[in-house]
Parts: sequence; structure tokens; C-alpha cells
Amino acid sequence: MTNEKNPTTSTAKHGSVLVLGGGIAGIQSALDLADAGFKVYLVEKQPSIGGTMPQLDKTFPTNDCAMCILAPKLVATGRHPNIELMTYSDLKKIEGEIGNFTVTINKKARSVDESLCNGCGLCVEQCLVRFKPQKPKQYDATKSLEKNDLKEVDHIMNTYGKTSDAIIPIMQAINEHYNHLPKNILRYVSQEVGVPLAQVYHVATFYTSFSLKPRGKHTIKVCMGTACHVRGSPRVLDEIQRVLKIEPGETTDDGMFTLETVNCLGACAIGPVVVIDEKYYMVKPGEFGKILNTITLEKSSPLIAEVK
Amino acid sequence: MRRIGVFICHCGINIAQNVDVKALTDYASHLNGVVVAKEYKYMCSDVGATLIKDTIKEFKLDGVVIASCSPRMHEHTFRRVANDGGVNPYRVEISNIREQCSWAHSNKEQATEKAKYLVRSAVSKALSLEPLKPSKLKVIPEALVIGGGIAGIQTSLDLADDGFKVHLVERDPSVGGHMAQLDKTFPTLDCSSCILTPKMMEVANHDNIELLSYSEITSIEGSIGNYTVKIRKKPRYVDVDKCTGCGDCATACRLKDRIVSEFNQGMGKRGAAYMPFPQAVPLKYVIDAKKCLFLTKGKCGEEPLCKKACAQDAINFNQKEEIVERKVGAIVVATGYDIMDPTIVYEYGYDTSPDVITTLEMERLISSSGPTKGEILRPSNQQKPKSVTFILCIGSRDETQCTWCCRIGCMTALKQVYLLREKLGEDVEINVCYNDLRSFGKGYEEFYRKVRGLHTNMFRGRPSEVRTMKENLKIDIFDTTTNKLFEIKTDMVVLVPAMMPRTDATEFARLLHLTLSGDGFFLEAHPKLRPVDTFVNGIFIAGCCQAPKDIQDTVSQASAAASRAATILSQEELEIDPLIAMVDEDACTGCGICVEVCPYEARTLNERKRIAEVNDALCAGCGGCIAACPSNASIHKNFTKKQLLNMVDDIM
Repeated sequence: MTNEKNPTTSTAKHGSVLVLGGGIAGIQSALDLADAGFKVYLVEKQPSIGGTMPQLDKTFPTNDCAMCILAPKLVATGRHPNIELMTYSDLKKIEGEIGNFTVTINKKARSVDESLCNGCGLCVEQCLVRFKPQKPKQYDATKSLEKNDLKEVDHIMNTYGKTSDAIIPIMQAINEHYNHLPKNILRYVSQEVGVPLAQVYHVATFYTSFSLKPRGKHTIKVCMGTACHVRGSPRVLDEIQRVLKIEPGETTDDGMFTLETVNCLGACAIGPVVVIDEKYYMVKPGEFGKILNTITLEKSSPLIAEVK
Repeated sequence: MRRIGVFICHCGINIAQNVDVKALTDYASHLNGVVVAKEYKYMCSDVGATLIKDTIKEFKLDGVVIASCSPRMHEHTFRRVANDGGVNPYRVEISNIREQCSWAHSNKEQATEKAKYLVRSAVSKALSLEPLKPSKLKVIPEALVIGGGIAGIQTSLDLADDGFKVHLVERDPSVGGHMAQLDKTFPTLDCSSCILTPKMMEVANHDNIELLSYSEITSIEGSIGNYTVKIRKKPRYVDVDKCTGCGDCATACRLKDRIVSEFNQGMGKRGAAYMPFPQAVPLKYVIDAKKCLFLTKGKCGEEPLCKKACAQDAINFNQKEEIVERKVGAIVVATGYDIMDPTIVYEYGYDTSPDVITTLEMERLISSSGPTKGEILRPSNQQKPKSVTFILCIGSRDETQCTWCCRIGCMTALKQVYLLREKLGEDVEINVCYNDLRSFGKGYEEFYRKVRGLHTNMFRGRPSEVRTMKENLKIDIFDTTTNKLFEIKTDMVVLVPAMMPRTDATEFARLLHLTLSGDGFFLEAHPKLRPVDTFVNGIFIAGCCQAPKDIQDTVSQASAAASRAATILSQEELEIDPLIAMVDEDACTGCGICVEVCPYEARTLNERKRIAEVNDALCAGCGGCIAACPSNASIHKNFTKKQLLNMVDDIM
């Protein structure tokens, strides 16, 4: 090696070591040797040390971030006075024997003066063949909406104002009108109000009063709170499930009823409580059929007939 | 009056595009205590460093503020530059206006305003920074290696070859550990003792190694670079200088062939005067004090026969245990593992039938130096078995016993299948009941394929139990690869038991202040990047005391631990970062809370003065004691309450 330097006097006594490969194995060997006082030449084929490890996201089994644990070692290698980094270099020839090797290394032309480059990135900005990120085609949510829906949603948005503050009232109004939040309308709202779609979904999934699935014409809520529970609400729920053939959270096939359970409706005194379309009923087990009858529902529904 | 210089870096365009550096420099130059403010495109470059050095000299600065990137990046660089210029390196304060300002904001006006606040508070801290000096600690260039298995042997040899004095402490009368008990090693099938014995001999004869066999550690004090270790040498009742290893005492012993041999895993017998195994190092006899008639009853016939038989007069019943003290700079722990007691998994009949044995016992049967001289005989009737069945994962990968994989079980079983086929011939049936066969190492998968070709019956599943019948043993196994239930009648069952931490690992960890991981093995400082370091500086771990592993991995880890220890031992002095805790002796009430909270054992209570003290070498500057101290007596150097409050006042 022609450009041999001896940064500390101790290295002259110890000699020097060549480490081939600048992945995590080479880096660790180089650091340990350098800490022990040896001069180390670390040769790496690529323009940067690091190897495969920086390409990983997390590492098993502890799932720590690969870059977070590697980066300090990269920095330490770069600035260790006993390590001479030779990146973008190839091994050409090894001669000699243990204790006295002569190594020829081909330093490929980087065409950038390493001692002057500060990594500012201005050359990348100016380069004519630089990578230009391609912008994805703008998605226009307007086209996915029917004319009526467009009119309705525009009306709702104009009522509350197209600002991010109004996102909850707007979504409430849409939820009320459609009985759920249709996907294409949420996209349209996100586009018009300027709130990211992820944030719209964030709100939609947070509040239980919003639903992303179509709901029935009538919503049946069964209270499962402690007071109602001891008064027999599980049996009431069983009965409703049997009659309507749906589980809590589901809607009947004909789109008439949606069944939900709630934790408390604040009407413990009249428990077990069932709320149908915001009307409160005290339902004793076995009486649900009767109540379903008394509600003014579409008489044509075959379901009612079955209950009778 | 202090003279502070402020240096502001553009970092190319990283800072300059969002912070008006000119305005910031102008602002900084008018701050109280600042005599000069300069800007440059890259402060970290050689030109920048020269600019700082020259400015320090020109303006006779005594403190430096650098407004640049995170201190994580270049604090080290700038401290060195300041030192070269003649300013105490601990009077450098970094103001992070890149990560915490220009990168985080897009409004140039507001970002510049924020940068001004950051620089102002950095200047106020710089005004009160104390000059500090890193203390030096002399390193004792000697190492202590605890455990004389293959890990301890390899570490000792590496360190000794590097030129450091090594004290190797082994609890048993001989070094060698578990590896000495093995016959052959997978996957290359080289004879274990053929490759181990030369290393054991080298350990005994190396000029730089002091072998303390039959000895245990009693206490360890001190810190990195300077540990004081007390070692208890147990009495052998044999003068090692006189003993030639002839064996006359063992032949003469009245208890000859009456005591269970630990080395042969209970498969063979020894006397009270014994040599653990023929290749033992040191090649000296030992008298078992717990069994010897003379030592337990005070009488052994007319006179002890061993004493009479020994021509060298080496037997000495007056030996007493001895405590020796050694001073070392680094410690490598290689205490190994224990094998799980298979009686815990009672359904496999380890304690009901003598024909149910462990792999280590089988290893002794296979070994030509073992109790049967290498013949495979059924323990119950000393006949050649017609059928042998291996059951893998006894206690391993088992939620009720050891959740981990022992990493050697599959390969050990495969190796023994190969050796049994060699010794017993083609007409013996060999069955293997496995969960998964994990042949993960170099050459392991190829070895597995070779064994599968040897007419081995492989069953994937866990047998329900091993039933002891009149003639033989019966096993029901449901093979999940063919979905069939098999009934195996077999002569011998070999269990592959789990690898466990040493039974006294917890106690030992307390002695060294080591941490244990959830499974009870010693915990490494980082599972990937510091696999042989521990949380105690200067103590390293190697081999199976860290986690189960095979011989290959153990030896690599042992060499790694030796090289990590060498990085400490090769330095004459260790520089101790002065940014650590100190105690205001007037304010300290000696309550001891800081001693409790310190995770590095750096705090001690001086009982005489009734104040707490800091061990500079152990303190990591974490600040835990500062937060915990109820009387404000714990102070972090250059992070004092006053300094920090000044910074806050200037930001508000």
C-alpha cells in the first residue's frame, strides 16, 4: 500500500490489518481491531459501507430498526482515526505471507473528490439525468358519484362550510342521509374539504355512530349494561337474533333492520331496554315479537307476518 | 468576562434554505458574552475546522457555540477542534438548528426566529460551562476467564496469544466441560477429544495462562480495567506438584468402582481417589471429600490405602482450602449450561426404566473411553439392542418447561443415529420421533440427508408415553406426515433433553452484577450488535451461558469475547468521560436513594462520612440519581440545574 499513514505511534509496533467487505461483519471487525490499536484498511466494493443490513427495515427477534442500530457503527467507522476507509474499491492482488502481506487495491474513479465533497446534494439537484419522481395521476372522486348524490353532498358541505373543522358535522349529515358512509362519497368529501382520506377514515372508525357498511332502515339497539343484563337482556337479544336471523352488528338481508348492542342507554329503571329508531321500549323476554308488531312498519314485510 | 465565539453552519443548503444564516450570525454577534460570530458553508469540513481554530486564537475565545446538526453527528469532531484551538473541549455547546429547526419547519421567517432562540439559549449555557478533564484509569493488562469448557479455553488461548496474562478458573478438577464428554461432533464427525485435547494441553502449558482448576469465584470488586477477584481453591488432598498421574491411588482406593462417575453421566463407576477422565487437564488425581472414608469418617481401615500406594507421597489429607486474590482488567464469563432433568417429563419413563437414557449418556456409551469401551449395550441386560428410538425436544420448545429450542438436539440425535448404524450394523432398527428437524448450520442439511438414507424411521410427532413392558419398551406415536398411528416396540429409548441455564446462574449473576434474560441465561448488551458484551463494562459472556448453541457458534463467540476484552486490555489507560454525576457533599444526607436507583452499580454509601459517592469508572452519566435525589445533592457535571434553567429562561 503506497499511501500508508501511521496516525498513532502504537500502530507502527502492531502493524495493520486489511478487512475485505464493509457489511456489518466487516464493520465490527474493523472497529474491534481499531479499538485495540491496530491500523485497519476497510475495503468495500460499493460506494458506501453498510452492506445488506441498511436495506432491512427491522431485525428479528427483537424487532429493532436495522438502520437505528447500524448508523452509529457506520459513523464510528467513518471517523475512527485507526480506520482507513476505501469505498468503491476492488481487491486486485495479494502477495506475501502471514505477518507481511502486500495488497494491491483498485480504487475506482468516483469522479468526485472525497476530501472536498460534503454530501450537500447540490450535484444531484443539478444533474440532468437525475431521478424524477413520477406524480401519480390525480384521482377525481367527482366522477364516481351519481348526479343526485353529488347535489346532496354538495348541499351538505355548503351548509357546514368546506373546512376541516366541519368534517364531523358533514359526516354526521351524510351518515344520517345514507344511513352509512359510502366509500365514494368519503373520497369526494376528502377531496373537496382537503382533509386526507386517512384522516376521514380515522374519524369514521373512531365514533361508533358512524358506519362504513350500509345499515338497515330501522336500527335496533339492545342494552347490555349491568342493570339490563340482570333483568334478562341477554335473553331478549337471543330472541331478537332468532327472529331476525342476524348477529349484533349485522343487517337483515332485506335491508330492514340493523341489530346493535350498547353498553348503557341511561334508562336502567325500565330495563331491559331496547331502542328502535330512537324510541325506547321496555322489552321483557318473549315480548319482542309483540313490540315489533306495534311499531308502524311496512305491513308488507314478510318478517312481520312471521312474528305474528 | 467570558469570551464566547458562535459558529453557524449552512450545512450546504440543509440549514441555509430554511434559516437566514446571515441574520442569525448578525443576531448572535450581539448576544451578551459573544465576541465574535461567524458563518461557513460546512463547519465540519477541514476548512471549517481551521476557521474555528484560527478564530479561537485571534479573539482569545474561552468558549464555543456551534449552531449546526445534531450533537450525535459532530459533537466529537467539534470538541476535538476546540481542543486543538486551545479551548477546553467541554466548553463547547452544540445548538441543533438542523434536525430541530431547518428540517422540521418550512417557513423561513419563523424558522430563523426559532434558530435565534436556540442559539441564544446555547450561548447562555456556554457562559456557565465548566472546563472538565477526563479522568484516567490504569488498565491491568490481565484477564479473568470463568469456566473451562471449550468457550473458556478458546477465549483464554486467544487472549494469551495476544500477549495478555489470563487466569482461567474452572470449578471441576479438570478443564474440558461438556465437550470432553462427547464422542464425535457433528456435522464433520471429527472426534471430540482429538480436537479438544490439544487445546486443553495448550491451556495448561501456555506461559500466559494460569490455570486455577477445582476453584470457584467468591467475590468480584472494582470496575472496568481494575477488578479484584477472590478465588477459592478447593483442597484436592493431592499435592499437584508431586502427583505424576500414575493412578496407583485410584487402584488402591477401598471405594474403587463404588461411586457413580459424574463424567460418565452415571453410566460408570469410580473410586474416592479418581481422575475425572483419562485426558484430564491438569493430569492430577483428586480425592472426593464427600465420599472418602478417611475424610468423612476419620478412619479408612488401618491406614488410607491410597496414601500407602502413592510412591510420590503426594496424598495430603491436611490440605485446607485457600483463598487467592487476582487483579484483572477484564472478565469473560463462560460458565456453560445444565441439561434438563428428564424425570420432570415423567411420561417418558426416565426413572422407571434403565433402558431410557439421555443423549449425553448415549454419548458415553458410544465413546471408546466410556464405561462399555464403546460397545452399545442395553443398561438393563448388557445385551446389544435390536431397536433404538430417539425422542427429540424433551422439555425444549415446550411451554411448560423450556420455551426455547436447544439448537443442538436435532443434530445430536442425527449424529448418534449415524454412529449407531456404524457400530450396530444394518439389522438394527433405528427410529427418530421429532417435532421439526432443524438442520440450520453449514453442512447440517447435507448431514441430515445422509442420515435419512441410512434406513432410519422418521416419525413426525410427539409420543404420548414410553411404557415399560417385560421385554422391551412400547411407544405409541401418531405420525403427522402420514396421518397414521404407529406402535413402536423398542429396546432402548434415547431422550434429547433441553438445555437450561446453570442452576446457580441467578446467584452467580448477582455476584457479577450481570443481568439475566427471561429464560434465565445471561443477558447480552444487545442481541445483534453487542452479542458478547454485558451491561457491566469490562465483563463479557461467551458460549452456552448466554444461550444454547453448538460448538461452532460457541468457539466463534469465545473468540469474539476475547477480541472485545483485548480492546480494553490493549490500552494502557482508559479515558473516562467527565460528563458524569458528582455529589455535593454538603447537601448529601446519605439517604441512599441514589444507590438504589443506579442501574450501573456506580453509587455507594460511605458509611463513615454518611454520604453517597460516585465511582467515576462505572457511572454512565444517565442522570437517574440526579432525578431521584431529594436534597439536590446529586449533580450532573455541565448539566447542572442552574445551567439548564438559564437555558430555559433564555428560550422563554
